[in-house]
Amino acid sequence: MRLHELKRAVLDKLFHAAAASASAALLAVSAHIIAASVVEGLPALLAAGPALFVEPPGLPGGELGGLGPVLAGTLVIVSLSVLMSALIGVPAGILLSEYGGSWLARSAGAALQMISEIPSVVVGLVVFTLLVLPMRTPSALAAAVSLCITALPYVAAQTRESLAAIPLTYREAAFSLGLPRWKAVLMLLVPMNARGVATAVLLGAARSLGETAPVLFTAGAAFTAFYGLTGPSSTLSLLIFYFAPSPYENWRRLAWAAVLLLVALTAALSLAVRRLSRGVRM
Amino acid sequence: MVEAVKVRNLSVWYGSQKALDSVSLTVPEGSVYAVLGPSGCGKSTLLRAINKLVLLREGARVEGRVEVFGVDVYGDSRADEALARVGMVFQTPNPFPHLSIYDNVAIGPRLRGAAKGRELDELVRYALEKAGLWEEVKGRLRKPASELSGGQQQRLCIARALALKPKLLLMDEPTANLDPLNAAKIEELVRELSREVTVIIVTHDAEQARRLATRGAILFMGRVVAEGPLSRVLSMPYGKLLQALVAAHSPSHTP
Repeated sequence: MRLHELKRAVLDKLFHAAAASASAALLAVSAHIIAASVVEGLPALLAAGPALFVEPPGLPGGELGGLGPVLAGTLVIVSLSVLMSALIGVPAGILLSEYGGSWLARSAGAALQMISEIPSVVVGLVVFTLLVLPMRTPSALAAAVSLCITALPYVAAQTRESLAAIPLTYREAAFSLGLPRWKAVLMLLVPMNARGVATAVLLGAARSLGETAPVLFTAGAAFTAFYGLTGPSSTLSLLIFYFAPSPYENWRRLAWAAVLLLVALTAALSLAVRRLSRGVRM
Repeated sequence: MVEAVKVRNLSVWYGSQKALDSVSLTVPEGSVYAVLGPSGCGKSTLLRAINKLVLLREGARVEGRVEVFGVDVYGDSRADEALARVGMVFQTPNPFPHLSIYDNVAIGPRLRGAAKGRELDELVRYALEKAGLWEEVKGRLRKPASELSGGQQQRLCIARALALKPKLLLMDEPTANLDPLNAAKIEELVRELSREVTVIIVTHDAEQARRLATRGAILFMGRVVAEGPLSRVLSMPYGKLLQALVAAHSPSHTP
């Protein structure tokens, strides 16, 4: 009997130790990511000064320069992607949550499921054949479309989940007012869940900001100037992809500055998402 | 006698579980009708079958006929029109959490396009006065509804229903979550409203039914065991009631 208890106590301790070390490993990884981007990125950021936000990158092996055109490209591409994924993803999420039984919703759900399972590099390739080849040039537009496609399932799923989380009693109240179904949904349930929809859109933004594979074939790699919506462009993640492994010291430092910016932006977005989703209470 | 609600052979399933079994009853216009019975007997389901809210529940299936002011709500193309004259008050006060006191009452008529501007203000005031809440909230109509106390929230929900100018009001144990003082207020309201509106009130409290209603029904395990004038329903001899309960519970009625 004593032996049995001892065995249980040891197993318990072992399990606790395993769980604790797993969480410690997780913490270490995220701490390392943040520390590395600050340690490597901050000096580059400070060295470049305000010029970082305006100047193009310096010549290979030359001066540091800045991330101006890349930031412009990121801003335009991500904004456009967020706009498009919100315009399609939010209504899709509403459809999935409120009209889940209809064949339209079922096929939309299946399509979104499929998109979310396709590797994002494939999405990039598909947009390459659909937009880049006919237009004969990679462009900010093509990059935004491919990012929008990768973000769509997240926006739709988050919208659907947040609507589905509205307690039945409010749903019943909304439907007891003798309104047509679409009116009760659009004018009562969706506004009631405004924070949930905002969360979904921000989640899509975070997705668009971080993805690299979809823009590999679609954005081009125009780091030195911004050529507008239909011209070749670039994003922060794309710059990191090309500059970080380059042999040029100044480009590697720029890549680290971009890493720091990207981590900070993503952290800010995820913080906003947490804030918003915590605020949803009914 | 004009009928506000006529239910014939109504059965409701949630998935494979039968919640109502061949329920038939008649609610005359201009009366207060009480639906009595123990918890889980199908009272709330019956109420939600009348205004079709039951269809919001997962796997719900309805069979039989429900007429509201002569319109078959599950078959007639005028069903939405008929149900637009039906208001509902729920067991737990559920004002819309994102709306102000004013907007909670105004939202129904506004979205229906029934009133706007001054006219809407008047309607909101009318509904809040009817619900006995106007004096308490007139100075803070723009404040969130969640600031009100439970009893006030329930009266706000009544005002929300009244702003629809309903001819039929469905009340699902409206006093179950209130203290006696607030419950008495709501009862007083129901008595007053019954002069203009047909009320169907679900309750498990026979005394409350006696105070408010003239007719009623007792439900047990999804079946009607007694229906008619309340004095007769409630004075049903114990033996007969027992027989009816046994009949409702007999194997031939259980799947």
